[in-house]
Amino acid sequence: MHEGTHYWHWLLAVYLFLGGLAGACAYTGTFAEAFSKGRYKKVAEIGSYCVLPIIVLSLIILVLDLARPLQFWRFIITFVPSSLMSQGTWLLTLFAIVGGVIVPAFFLSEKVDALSFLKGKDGARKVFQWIGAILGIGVVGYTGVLLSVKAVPMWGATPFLPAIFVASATSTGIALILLFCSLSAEKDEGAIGALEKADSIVIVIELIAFALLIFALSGAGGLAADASAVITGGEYAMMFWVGIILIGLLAPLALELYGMSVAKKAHPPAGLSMLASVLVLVGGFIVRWMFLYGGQVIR
Amino acid sequence: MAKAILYDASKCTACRACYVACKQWNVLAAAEVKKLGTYYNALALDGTTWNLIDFIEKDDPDRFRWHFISQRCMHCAEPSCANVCAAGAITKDSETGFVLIDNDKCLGCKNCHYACPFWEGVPRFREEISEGEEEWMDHGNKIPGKRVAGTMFKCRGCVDRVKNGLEPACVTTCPPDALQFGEKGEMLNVANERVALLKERGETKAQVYNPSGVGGTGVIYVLTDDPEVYGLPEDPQVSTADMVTKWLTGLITAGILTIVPFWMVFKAAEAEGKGGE
Repeated sequence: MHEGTHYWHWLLAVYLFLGGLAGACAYTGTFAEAFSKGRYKKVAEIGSYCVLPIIVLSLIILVLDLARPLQFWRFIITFVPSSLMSQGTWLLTLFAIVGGVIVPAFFLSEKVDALSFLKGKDGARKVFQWIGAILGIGVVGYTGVLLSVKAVPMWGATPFLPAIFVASATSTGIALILLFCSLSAEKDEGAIGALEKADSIVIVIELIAFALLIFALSGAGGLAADASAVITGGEYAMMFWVGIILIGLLAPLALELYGMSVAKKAHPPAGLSMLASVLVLVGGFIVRWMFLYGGQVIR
Repeated sequence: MAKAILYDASKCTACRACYVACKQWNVLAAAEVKKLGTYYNALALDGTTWNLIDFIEKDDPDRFRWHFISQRCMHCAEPSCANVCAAGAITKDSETGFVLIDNDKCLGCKNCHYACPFWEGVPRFREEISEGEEEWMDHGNKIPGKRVAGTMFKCRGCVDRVKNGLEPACVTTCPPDALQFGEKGEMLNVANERVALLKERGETKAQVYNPSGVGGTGVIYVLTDDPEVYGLPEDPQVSTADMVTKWLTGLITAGILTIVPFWMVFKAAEAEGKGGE
Protein backbone atom coordinates (compact mmCIF):
# COMPACT_ATOMS: atom_id res chain seq x y z
CA MET A 1 0.00 0.00 0.00
CA HIS A 2 1.34 3.40 -0.95
CA GLU A 3 -0.11 6.38 0.88
CA GLY A 4 0.73 8.50 -2.16
CA THR A 5 -2.12 6.96 -4.13
CA HIS A 6 -4.87 7.73 -1.61
CA TYR A 7 -6.22 10.30 -3.99
CA TRP A 8 -9.80 10.54 -2.77
CA HIS A 9 -10.18 12.62 0.37
CA TRP A 10 -12.74 14.06 2.77
CA LEU A 11 -14.17 16.40 0.16
CA LEU A 12 -15.48 13.38 -1.72
CA ALA A 13 -16.94 11.94 1.50
CA VAL A 14 -18.83 15.23 1.98
CA TYR A 15 -20.00 15.07 -1.62
CA LEU A 16 -21.29 11.49 -1.31
CA PHE A 17 -23.04 12.39 1.95
CA LEU A 18 -24.70 15.53 0.57
CA GLY A 19 -25.75 13.86 -2.68
CA GLY A 20 -27.43 11.07 -0.74
CA LEU A 21 -29.05 13.54 1.66
CA ALA A 22 -30.54 15.71 -1.10
CA GLY A 23 -31.91 12.74 -3.02
CA ALA A 24 -33.45 11.24 0.11
CA CYS A 25 -35.08 14.54 1.14
CA ALA A 26 -36.90 14.61 -2.20
CA TYR A 27 -38.30 11.09 -2.08
CA THR A 28 -38.96 11.00 1.68
CA GLY A 29 -41.25 14.00 1.33
CA THR A 30 -42.90 12.69 -1.81
CA PHE A 31 -43.62 9.28 -0.28
CA ALA A 32 -44.85 10.80 2.98
CA GLU A 33 -47.38 12.95 1.15
CA ALA A 34 -48.44 10.39 -1.44
CA PHE A 35 -48.85 7.41 0.92
CA SER A 36 -50.77 9.46 3.49
CA LYS A 37 -53.04 10.76 0.70
CA GLY A 38 -51.96 14.35 1.27
CA ARG A 39 -52.12 14.48 5.06
CA TYR A 40 -48.35 15.11 5.22
CA LYS A 41 -48.04 17.65 2.44
CA LYS A 42 -46.03 19.77 4.87
CA VAL A 43 -43.35 17.05 5.05
CA ALA A 44 -43.03 17.09 1.27
CA GLU A 45 -42.78 20.89 1.30
CA ILE A 46 -40.01 20.92 3.91
CA GLY A 47 -38.21 18.13 2.05
CA SER A 48 -38.39 19.97 -1.26
CA TYR A 49 -36.84 23.14 0.19
CA CYS A 50 -33.86 21.15 1.48
CA VAL A 51 -32.91 19.86 -1.96
CA LEU A 52 -31.52 22.89 -3.79
CA PRO A 53 -29.04 24.23 -1.22
CA ILE A 54 -27.68 20.74 -0.55
CA ILE A 55 -27.42 19.74 -4.19
CA VAL A 56 -25.76 23.00 -5.19
CA LEU A 57 -23.23 22.59 -2.40
CA SER A 58 -22.52 19.01 -3.46
CA LEU A 59 -22.09 20.04 -7.11
CA ILE A 60 -19.64 22.77 -6.07
CA ILE A 61 -17.69 20.19 -4.08
CA LEU A 62 -17.73 17.75 -7.00
CA VAL A 63 -16.21 20.39 -9.27
CA LEU A 64 -13.68 21.54 -6.67
CA ASP A 65 -12.55 17.97 -6.16
CA LEU A 66 -11.39 17.79 -9.79
CA ALA A 67 -7.76 18.59 -10.41
CA ARG A 68 -8.89 20.81 -13.30
CA PRO A 69 -12.20 22.35 -12.13
CA LEU A 70 -12.43 24.74 -15.06
CA GLN A 71 -12.63 21.81 -17.45
CA PHE A 72 -15.86 20.64 -15.80
CA TRP A 73 -17.82 21.26 -18.99
CA ARG A 74 -16.19 18.16 -20.47
CA PHE A 75 -18.39 16.06 -18.17
CA ILE A 76 -21.46 17.87 -19.44
CA ILE A 77 -20.76 17.47 -23.16
CA THR A 78 -19.91 13.78 -22.79
CA PHE A 79 -22.15 10.89 -21.89
CA VAL A 80 -20.39 7.61 -21.23
CA PRO A 81 -23.06 5.04 -20.24
CA SER A 82 -20.52 2.68 -18.65
CA SER A 83 -19.14 5.43 -16.40
CA LEU A 84 -20.89 5.93 -13.06
CA MET A 85 -19.30 9.38 -12.84
CA SER A 86 -20.99 10.24 -16.12
CA GLN A 87 -24.34 8.71 -15.10
CA GLY A 88 -24.09 10.64 -11.83
CA THR A 89 -23.35 13.96 -13.51
CA TRP A 90 -26.49 13.61 -15.59
CA LEU A 91 -28.65 12.35 -12.71
CA LEU A 92 -27.48 15.21 -10.49
CA THR A 93 -28.12 17.81 -13.15
CA LEU A 94 -31.63 16.58 -13.92
CA PHE A 95 -32.38 16.11 -10.23
CA ALA A 96 -31.19 19.62 -9.38
CA ILE A 97 -33.53 21.06 -12.03
CA VAL A 98 -36.64 18.98 -11.17
CA GLY A 99 -36.21 18.27 -7.44
CA GLY A 100 -34.25 21.40 -6.60
CA VAL A 101 -36.02 24.06 -8.64
CA ILE A 102 -39.35 22.98 -10.19
CA VAL A 103 -40.90 21.14 -7.22
CA PRO A 104 -40.10 23.82 -4.59
CA ALA A 105 -41.38 26.46 -7.04
CA PHE A 106 -44.81 24.82 -6.89
CA PHE A 107 -44.78 24.93 -3.09
CA LEU A 108 -43.52 28.52 -3.04
CA SER A 109 -46.21 29.63 -5.48
CA GLU A 110 -48.61 29.84 -2.52
CA LYS A 111 -46.38 32.46 -0.88
CA VAL A 112 -44.53 34.19 -3.71
CA ASP A 113 -46.49 36.30 -6.18
CA ALA A 114 -43.97 35.92 -8.98
CA LEU A 115 -44.72 32.21 -9.02
CA SER A 116 -48.48 32.57 -8.85
CA PHE A 117 -48.86 31.02 -12.32
CA LEU A 118 -48.07 27.69 -10.63
CA LYS A 119 -50.54 28.21 -7.81
CA GLY A 120 -53.11 25.51 -7.23
CA LYS A 121 -51.69 23.26 -9.94
CA ASP A 122 -51.51 20.29 -7.60
CA GLY A 123 -51.71 17.68 -10.34
CA ALA A 124 -48.66 19.04 -12.15
CA ARG A 125 -46.82 19.42 -8.85
CA LYS A 126 -47.37 15.77 -8.00
CA VAL A 127 -46.13 14.64 -11.41
CA PHE A 128 -42.91 16.64 -10.98
CA GLN A 129 -42.60 15.40 -7.39
CA TRP A 130 -42.64 11.81 -8.60
CA ILE A 131 -40.11 12.55 -11.32
CA GLY A 132 -37.97 14.28 -8.68
CA ALA A 133 -38.37 11.33 -6.32
CA ILE A 134 -37.29 8.84 -8.98
CA LEU A 135 -34.30 11.00 -9.93
CA GLY A 136 -33.56 11.31 -6.20
CA ILE A 137 -33.47 7.53 -5.84
CA GLY A 138 -31.14 7.50 -8.84
CA VAL A 139 -28.82 10.05 -7.23
CA VAL A 140 -28.79 8.16 -3.93
CA GLY A 141 -28.15 4.84 -5.68
CA TYR A 142 -25.40 6.36 -7.77
CA THR A 143 -23.42 7.53 -4.72
CA GLY A 144 -23.12 3.90 -3.65
CA VAL A 145 -22.72 2.29 -7.06
CA LEU A 146 -19.97 4.81 -7.93
CA LEU A 147 -17.68 3.31 -5.30
CA SER A 148 -18.83 -0.27 -5.77
CA VAL A 149 -17.75 -0.61 -9.42
CA LYS A 150 -14.12 -0.16 -8.47
CA ALA A 151 -11.23 -2.59 -8.09
CA VAL A 152 -11.23 -1.82 -4.36
CA PRO A 153 -12.25 -4.89 -2.29
CA MET A 154 -14.18 -3.12 0.47
CA TRP A 155 -16.26 -1.22 -2.10
CA GLY A 156 -16.61 -3.65 -4.94
CA ALA A 157 -16.00 -7.24 -3.80
CA THR A 158 -19.65 -7.58 -2.71
CA PRO A 159 -22.83 -5.98 -4.08
CA PHE A 160 -23.90 -4.62 -0.66
CA LEU A 161 -22.25 -1.20 -0.56
CA PRO A 162 -25.04 0.44 -2.62
CA ALA A 163 -27.61 -1.08 -0.21
CA ILE A 164 -25.84 0.48 2.77
CA PHE A 165 -25.54 3.84 1.04
CA VAL A 166 -29.21 3.87 0.05
CA ALA A 167 -30.38 2.90 3.55
CA SER A 168 -28.01 5.40 5.16
CA ALA A 169 -29.00 8.22 2.80
CA THR A 170 -32.71 7.52 3.38
CA SER A 171 -32.16 7.65 7.11
CA THR A 172 -30.31 10.99 6.87
CA GLY A 173 -33.02 12.42 4.61
CA ILE A 174 -35.71 11.46 7.10
CA ALA A 175 -33.58 12.83 9.94
CA LEU A 176 -33.10 16.23 8.29
CA ILE A 177 -36.83 16.61 7.63
CA LEU A 178 -37.55 15.38 11.15
CA LEU A 179 -35.16 18.01 12.50
CA PHE A 180 -36.93 20.80 10.61
CA CYS A 181 -40.34 19.42 11.66
CA SER A 182 -39.21 19.44 15.30
CA LEU A 183 -37.90 23.00 14.97
CA SER A 184 -40.99 24.24 13.14
CA ALA A 185 -43.36 26.59 15.01
CA GLU A 186 -46.51 24.66 14.09
CA LYS A 187 -45.39 21.22 15.15
CA ASP A 188 -47.17 18.26 13.63
CA GLU A 189 -46.81 15.49 16.21
CA GLY A 190 -48.33 12.98 13.80
CA ALA A 191 -45.71 13.72 11.16
CA ILE A 192 -42.90 13.55 13.69
CA GLY A 193 -44.10 10.22 15.02
CA ALA A 194 -44.50 8.76 11.53
CA LEU A 195 -41.05 9.96 10.44
CA GLU A 196 -39.47 8.47 13.56
CA LYS A 197 -41.19 5.19 12.93
CA ALA A 198 -40.08 5.12 9.28
CA ASP A 199 -36.53 6.00 10.29
CA SER A 200 -36.35 3.26 12.88
CA ILE A 201 -37.29 0.69 10.22
CA VAL A 202 -34.70 2.09 7.80
CA ILE A 203 -32.04 1.93 10.55
CA VAL A 204 -32.78 -1.75 11.07
CA ILE A 205 -32.44 -2.30 7.30
CA GLU A 206 -29.12 -0.48 7.36
CA LEU A 207 -27.88 -2.72 10.22
CA ILE A 208 -28.84 -5.78 8.17
CA ALA A 209 -27.06 -4.37 5.11
CA PHE A 210 -23.91 -3.81 7.19
CA ALA A 211 -24.08 -7.37 8.51
CA LEU A 212 -24.47 -8.72 4.97
CA LEU A 213 -21.50 -6.70 3.73
CA ILE A 214 -19.22 -7.85 6.54
CA PHE A 215 -20.21 -11.51 6.32
CA ALA A 216 -19.86 -11.48 2.53
CA LEU A 217 -16.48 -9.74 2.65
CA SER A 218 -14.98 -11.92 5.35
CA GLY A 219 -16.41 -15.03 3.70
CA ALA A 220 -14.85 -14.12 0.35
CA GLY A 221 -11.34 -14.55 1.75
CA GLY A 222 -8.16 -12.96 0.38
CA LEU A 223 -8.08 -9.19 0.07
CA ALA A 224 -11.84 -8.92 0.71
CA ALA A 225 -11.41 -10.58 4.10
CA ASP A 226 -8.50 -8.24 4.86
CA ALA A 227 -10.76 -5.34 3.95
CA SER A 228 -13.49 -6.51 6.33
CA ALA A 229 -10.89 -6.84 9.10
CA VAL A 230 -9.99 -3.17 8.60
CA ILE A 231 -13.47 -2.18 9.78
CA THR A 232 -14.25 -4.93 12.26
CA GLY A 233 -10.92 -5.09 14.07
CA GLY A 234 -8.36 -2.90 12.37
CA GLU A 235 -7.58 0.72 11.67
CA TYR A 236 -11.20 1.76 11.27
CA ALA A 237 -12.76 -0.49 13.93
CA MET A 238 -13.29 2.36 16.41
CA MET A 239 -14.95 4.50 13.77
CA PHE A 240 -17.13 1.57 12.71
CA TRP A 241 -18.26 0.19 16.08
CA VAL A 242 -18.51 3.46 17.99
CA GLY A 243 -19.06 6.08 15.28
CA ILE A 244 -21.41 4.17 13.01
CA ILE A 245 -22.98 1.26 14.89
CA LEU A 246 -23.31 2.86 18.32
CA ILE A 247 -23.66 6.60 17.73
CA GLY A 248 -25.07 6.56 14.20
CA LEU A 249 -27.44 3.60 14.37
CA LEU A 250 -28.19 2.08 17.79
CA ALA A 251 -28.41 5.33 19.78
CA PRO A 252 -30.91 7.06 17.44
CA LEU A 253 -32.83 3.80 17.12
CA ALA A 254 -33.14 3.60 20.90
CA LEU A 255 -34.18 7.26 21.13
CA GLU A 256 -36.80 6.81 18.42
CA LEU A 257 -38.18 3.63 19.97
CA TYR A 258 -38.35 5.33 23.36
CA GLY A 259 -40.07 8.35 21.79
CA MET A 260 -42.64 6.13 20.12
CA SER A 261 -43.34 4.18 23.32
CA VAL A 262 -44.01 7.28 25.44
CA ALA A 263 -45.92 9.02 22.63
CA LYS A 264 -48.91 6.81 23.38
CA LYS A 265 -49.29 8.37 26.81
CA ALA A 266 -47.80 11.85 26.56
CA HIS A 267 -46.02 14.14 24.11
CA PRO A 268 -42.37 13.08 24.03
CA PRO A 269 -39.93 15.95 24.52
CA ALA A 270 -38.98 17.52 21.18
CA GLY A 271 -35.33 17.39 22.18
CA LEU A 272 -35.44 13.62 21.92
CA SER A 273 -36.23 13.44 18.21
CA MET A 274 -33.88 16.35 17.50
CA LEU A 275 -31.03 14.51 19.17
CA ALA A 276 -31.87 11.34 17.25
CA SER A 277 -31.86 13.32 13.98
CA VAL A 278 -28.48 14.88 14.67
CA LEU A 279 -27.01 11.48 15.57
CA VAL A 280 -28.34 9.97 12.34
CA LEU A 281 -26.85 12.80 10.29
CA VAL A 282 -23.47 12.52 12.02
CA GLY A 283 -23.53 8.73 11.65
CA GLY A 284 -24.43 9.00 7.97
CA PHE A 285 -21.45 11.21 7.36
CA ILE A 286 -19.15 8.79 9.22
CA VAL A 287 -20.43 5.98 6.96
CA ARG A 288 -19.16 7.85 3.87
CA TRP A 289 -15.93 8.83 5.61
CA MET A 290 -15.13 5.32 6.83
CA PHE A 291 -15.79 3.64 3.49
CA LEU A 292 -13.89 6.25 1.51
CA TYR A 293 -10.76 6.07 3.65
CA GLY A 294 -11.05 2.51 4.95
CA GLY A 295 -11.52 1.12 1.44
CA GLN A 296 -8.24 2.59 0.29
CA VAL A 297 -6.27 0.72 2.97
CA ILE A 298 -6.53 -2.61 1.14
CA ARG A 299 -6.13 -2.60 -2.63
CA MET B 1 -4.34 -6.72 -35.15
CA ALA B 2 -3.53 -6.06 -31.53
CA LYS B 3 0.08 -5.94 -30.45
CA ALA B 4 1.48 -7.30 -27.22
CA ILE B 5 4.51 -6.86 -25.01
CA LEU B 6 5.75 -10.13 -23.52
CA TYR B 7 7.58 -9.98 -20.20
CA ASP B 8 9.29 -13.24 -19.30
CA ALA B 9 9.92 -13.27 -15.55
CA SER B 10 12.14 -16.34 -15.94
CA LYS B 11 14.57 -14.37 -18.13
CA CYS B 12 14.50 -11.04 -16.28
CA THR B 13 17.68 -10.15 -14.37
CA ALA B 14 16.11 -7.06 -12.77
CA CYS B 15 18.72 -4.76 -14.27
CA ARG B 16 16.01 -2.09 -14.64
CA ALA B 17 17.21 -0.93 -18.03
CA CYS B 18 13.52 -0.96 -19.09
CA TYR B 19 12.76 1.52 -16.36
CA VAL B 20 15.54 3.86 -17.47
CA ALA B 21 14.68 3.49 -21.16
CA CYS B 22 11.06 4.41 -20.41
CA LYS B 23 12.15 7.52 -18.51
CA GLN B 24 14.51 8.54 -21.29
CA TRP B 25 12.25 7.99 -24.27
CA ASN B 26 9.27 9.57 -22.59
CA VAL B 27 11.26 12.46 -21.05
CA LEU B 28 10.16 11.60 -17.51
CA ALA B 29 11.94 13.01 -14.50
CA ALA B 30 13.85 10.62 -12.25
CA ALA B 31 11.93 9.44 -9.19
CA GLU B 32 13.11 10.21 -5.73
CA VAL B 33 14.27 6.95 -4.17
CA LYS B 34 14.70 5.81 -0.61
CA LYS B 35 17.15 3.23 0.62
CA LEU B 36 15.06 0.40 2.01
CA GLY B 37 17.82 -2.16 2.41
CA THR B 38 16.80 -3.92 -0.80
CA TYR B 39 17.38 -3.38 -4.49
CA TYR B 40 13.94 -1.90 -4.72
CA ASN B 41 14.25 1.32 -6.63
CA ALA B 42 11.33 3.55 -7.50
CA LEU B 43 8.89 2.64 -4.78
CA ALA B 44 5.70 2.62 -6.78
CA LEU B 45 4.25 3.53 -10.13
CA ASP B 46 3.55 7.25 -10.28
CA GLY B 47 2.94 10.03 -12.77
CA THR B 48 6.55 9.91 -13.98
CA THR B 49 7.25 6.21 -13.39
CA TRP B 50 5.36 4.11 -15.92
CA ASN B 51 7.12 0.84 -15.33
CA LEU B 52 9.21 -0.57 -12.53
CA ILE B 53 10.72 -3.86 -11.45
CA ASP B 54 9.37 -5.28 -8.22
CA PHE B 55 11.48 -7.68 -6.14
CA ILE B 56 9.69 -10.48 -4.33
CA GLU B 57 11.39 -12.79 -1.85
CA LYS B 58 9.73 -16.18 -1.43
CA ASP B 59 10.74 -18.93 0.94
CA ASP B 60 9.72 -22.10 -0.88
CA PRO B 61 10.03 -25.41 1.01
CA ASP B 62 12.90 -26.62 -1.16
CA ARG B 63 14.74 -23.34 -1.75
CA PHE B 64 14.68 -19.61 -1.37
CA ARG B 65 13.55 -17.77 -4.48
CA TRP B 66 13.84 -14.25 -5.73
CA HIS B 67 11.11 -13.26 -8.17
CA PHE B 68 11.08 -10.20 -10.40
CA ILE B 69 8.08 -8.64 -12.08
CA SER B 70 7.66 -5.63 -14.32
CA GLN B 71 4.80 -3.52 -12.97
CA ARG B 72 3.16 -1.51 -15.73
CA CYS B 73 -0.14 -0.86 -17.49
CA MET B 74 -1.46 -4.17 -18.74
CA HIS B 75 -3.27 -2.64 -21.76
CA CYS B 76 -6.41 -4.74 -21.14
CA ALA B 77 -8.51 -5.78 -24.10
CA GLU B 78 -11.48 -4.47 -22.08
CA PRO B 79 -10.02 -1.60 -20.08
CA SER B 80 -11.92 -0.71 -16.87
CA CYS B 81 -10.24 2.70 -16.81
CA ALA B 82 -11.76 3.61 -20.19
CA ASN B 83 -15.17 2.32 -19.08
CA VAL B 84 -15.32 4.60 -16.04
CA CYS B 85 -13.87 7.77 -17.60
CA ALA B 86 -16.70 10.32 -17.61
CA ALA B 87 -14.73 12.68 -19.83
CA GLY B 88 -14.13 10.03 -22.49
CA ALA B 89 -10.42 10.74 -22.20
CA ILE B 90 -9.25 7.10 -22.25
CA THR B 91 -9.41 5.16 -25.48
CA LYS B 92 -8.03 1.99 -26.98
CA ASP B 93 -5.86 2.57 -30.00
CA SER B 94 -7.46 0.55 -32.79
CA GLU B 95 -4.20 -0.18 -34.57
CA THR B 96 -2.08 -1.37 -31.63
CA GLY B 97 -4.62 -2.12 -28.88
CA PHE B 98 -2.76 0.18 -26.48
CA VAL B 99 -4.87 2.00 -23.91
CA LEU B 100 -4.14 5.74 -24.12
CA ILE B 101 -5.05 8.67 -21.90
CA ASP B 102 -5.71 11.93 -23.71
CA ASN B 103 -4.42 14.30 -21.04
CA ASP B 104 -6.03 17.27 -22.71
CA LYS B 105 -9.46 15.78 -21.96
CA CYS B 106 -8.60 14.38 -18.51
CA LEU B 107 -10.05 16.33 -15.56
CA GLY B 108 -8.06 14.58 -12.85
CA CYS B 109 -11.02 12.96 -11.08
CA LYS B 110 -8.93 9.76 -10.47
CA ASN B 111 -11.86 7.48 -11.22
CA CYS B 112 -9.64 5.39 -13.54
CA HIS B 113 -7.08 4.80 -10.80
CA TYR B 114 -9.65 3.15 -8.56
CA ALA B 115 -11.23 1.15 -11.40
CA CYS B 116 -7.98 -0.48 -12.53
CA PRO B 117 -7.57 -4.03 -11.18
CA PHE B 118 -3.77 -4.09 -11.53
CA TRP B 119 -0.89 -2.87 -9.37
CA GLU B 120 -3.12 -0.99 -6.92
CA GLY B 121 -4.47 1.08 -9.80
CA VAL B 122 -2.12 1.86 -12.68
CA PRO B 123 -3.13 5.39 -13.77
CA ARG B 124 -1.40 7.83 -11.45
CA PHE B 125 -1.84 11.52 -10.86
CA ARG B 126 0.63 14.28 -11.65
CA GLU B 127 0.35 17.70 -10.12
CA GLU B 128 3.02 19.32 -12.27
CA ILE B 129 4.62 19.12 -15.68
CA SER B 130 8.28 19.94 -16.13
CA GLU B 131 9.38 22.63 -18.51
CA GLY B 132 9.39 21.72 -22.16
CA GLU B 133 7.52 18.50 -21.53
CA GLU B 134 4.17 19.54 -23.02
CA GLU B 135 5.06 19.56 -26.67
CA TRP B 136 7.63 16.85 -27.19
CA MET B 137 5.34 13.87 -27.56
CA ASP B 138 3.50 14.74 -30.75
CA HIS B 139 6.18 13.81 -33.30
CA GLY B 140 3.74 14.94 -35.95
CA ASN B 141 1.84 11.65 -35.99
CA LYS B 142 -1.46 12.80 -34.50
CA ILE B 143 -1.25 10.74 -31.35
CA PRO B 144 -2.86 12.56 -28.43
CA GLY B 145 0.23 13.09 -26.35
CA LYS B 146 0.03 16.55 -24.85
CA ARG B 147 1.17 16.66 -21.24
CA VAL B 148 -1.17 18.51 -18.92
CA ALA B 149 -0.70 19.24 -15.22
CA GLY B 150 -3.38 17.84 -12.90
CA THR B 151 -4.14 14.76 -14.98
CA MET B 152 -3.50 11.01 -14.95
CA PHE B 153 -0.52 9.25 -16.51
CA LYS B 154 0.56 5.72 -17.32
CA CYS B 155 2.41 3.62 -19.90
CA ARG B 156 1.44 4.45 -23.50
CA GLY B 157 3.13 1.39 -25.02
CA CYS B 158 5.44 3.86 -26.79
CA VAL B 159 2.66 4.12 -29.34
CA ASP B 160 4.63 6.84 -31.12
CA ARG B 161 7.57 4.46 -31.67
CA VAL B 162 5.36 1.54 -32.63
CA LYS B 163 3.50 3.55 -35.27
CA ASN B 164 6.87 4.41 -36.76
CA GLY B 165 7.97 0.81 -37.02
CA LEU B 166 9.98 0.59 -33.79
CA GLU B 167 9.48 -1.49 -30.64
CA PRO B 168 8.60 0.13 -27.32
CA ALA B 169 11.72 1.61 -25.71
CA CYS B 170 11.75 -0.90 -22.82
CA VAL B 171 11.70 -3.83 -25.27
CA THR B 172 14.46 -2.44 -27.46
CA THR B 173 16.73 -1.93 -24.48
CA CYS B 174 16.16 -5.21 -22.57
CA PRO B 175 19.56 -6.99 -22.48
CA PRO B 176 18.40 -10.57 -21.73
CA ASP B 177 15.39 -10.35 -24.10
CA ALA B 178 13.02 -10.78 -21.19
CA LEU B 179 10.86 -8.22 -22.99
CA GLN B 180 9.64 -8.94 -26.50
CA PHE B 181 7.16 -7.23 -28.75
CA GLY B 182 4.98 -8.32 -31.65
CA GLU B 183 1.53 -9.41 -32.76
CA LYS B 184 -0.45 -10.70 -29.81
CA GLY B 185 -0.95 -14.18 -31.31
CA GLU B 186 2.75 -14.49 -32.01
CA MET B 187 3.67 -13.39 -28.49
CA LEU B 188 1.24 -15.92 -27.01
CA ASN B 189 2.94 -18.66 -29.02
CA VAL B 190 6.36 -17.58 -27.76
CA ALA B 191 5.01 -17.50 -24.19
CA ASN B 192 3.40 -20.94 -24.44
CA GLU B 193 6.56 -22.48 -25.87
CA ARG B 194 8.60 -20.92 -23.10
CA VAL B 195 6.24 -22.25 -20.43
CA ALA B 196 6.46 -25.75 -21.94
CA LEU B 197 10.25 -25.53 -21.79
CA LEU B 198 10.23 -24.23 -18.21
CA LYS B 199 7.94 -27.08 -17.15
CA GLU B 200 10.33 -29.55 -18.74
CA ARG B 201 13.06 -28.02 -16.61
CA GLY B 202 11.05 -28.64 -13.48
CA GLU B 203 9.30 -25.24 -13.06
CA THR B 204 6.00 -26.89 -12.21
CA LYS B 205 4.18 -23.61 -11.62
CA ALA B 206 5.29 -21.94 -14.85
CA GLN B 207 2.34 -20.27 -16.56
CA VAL B 208 1.23 -17.62 -19.04
CA TYR B 209 -0.64 -14.66 -17.54
CA ASN B 210 -3.18 -13.24 -19.99
CA PRO B 211 -6.32 -13.05 -17.79
CA SER B 212 -9.63 -13.60 -19.56
CA GLY B 213 -11.70 -11.55 -17.09
CA VAL B 214 -10.40 -8.37 -18.71
CA GLY B 215 -10.55 -9.87 -22.20
CA GLY B 216 -6.85 -10.71 -22.16
CA THR B 217 -4.05 -8.18 -21.83
CA GLY B 218 -1.69 -6.36 -24.14
CA VAL B 219 1.09 -7.15 -21.68
CA ILE B 220 1.56 -10.90 -21.36
CA TYR B 221 3.64 -12.41 -18.57
CA VAL B 222 5.51 -15.67 -18.34
CA LEU B 223 5.55 -16.44 -14.61
CA THR B 224 7.32 -19.17 -12.66
CA ASP B 225 4.92 -19.08 -9.70
CA ASP B 226 1.26 -18.31 -9.02
CA PRO B 227 0.08 -14.80 -9.99
CA GLU B 228 -0.58 -13.80 -6.34
CA VAL B 229 3.12 -14.29 -5.55
CA TYR B 230 3.83 -11.42 -7.92
CA GLY B 231 1.01 -9.26 -6.58
CA LEU B 232 -1.19 -10.03 -9.56
CA PRO B 233 -4.90 -10.81 -9.14
CA GLU B 234 -5.64 -14.41 -10.03
CA ASP B 235 -8.84 -13.60 -11.86
CA PRO B 236 -9.15 -9.83 -12.45
CA GLN B 237 -12.48 -8.58 -13.74
CA VAL B 238 -13.59 -5.52 -15.64
CA SER B 239 -14.63 -3.41 -12.67
CA THR B 240 -17.83 -2.20 -14.33
CA ALA B 241 -18.83 -5.74 -15.37
CA ASP B 242 -21.33 -6.16 -12.52
CA MET B 243 -22.61 -2.59 -12.65
CA VAL B 244 -26.17 -3.74 -13.30
CA THR B 245 -26.15 -6.08 -10.26
CA LYS B 246 -24.87 -3.27 -8.09
CA TRP B 247 -27.47 -0.82 -9.38
CA LEU B 248 -30.08 -3.49 -8.65
CA THR B 249 -28.99 -4.02 -5.04
CA GLY B 250 -29.10 -0.27 -4.53
CA LEU B 251 -32.46 0.11 -6.21
CA ILE B 252 -33.96 -2.97 -4.56
CA THR B 253 -32.98 -1.52 -1.20
CA ALA B 254 -34.53 1.76 -2.23
CA GLY B 255 -37.57 0.13 -3.72
CA ILE B 256 -38.64 -2.76 -1.59
CA LEU B 257 -36.84 -2.11 1.67
CA THR B 258 -37.37 1.63 1.84
CA ILE B 259 -40.61 2.37 0.03
CA VAL B 260 -42.47 -0.47 1.78
CA PRO B 261 -41.84 0.79 5.34
CA PHE B 262 -42.76 4.30 4.19
CA TRP B 263 -45.93 2.97 2.71
CA MET B 264 -46.80 1.02 5.85
CA VAL B 265 -46.05 3.87 8.22
CA PHE B 266 -47.67 6.70 6.31
CA LYS B 267 -50.63 4.63 5.21
CA ALA B 268 -51.29 3.84 8.86
CA ALA B 269 -50.77 7.49 9.74
CA GLU B 270 -53.35 8.45 7.13
CA ALA B 271 -55.89 6.08 8.67
CA GLU B 272 -55.14 7.38 12.17
CA GLY B 273 -55.39 10.97 10.93
CA LYS B 274 -58.82 10.26 9.52
CA GLY B 275 -59.96 8.60 12.74
CA GLY B 276 -58.89 11.67 14.71
CA GLU B 277 -60.62 14.17 12.50
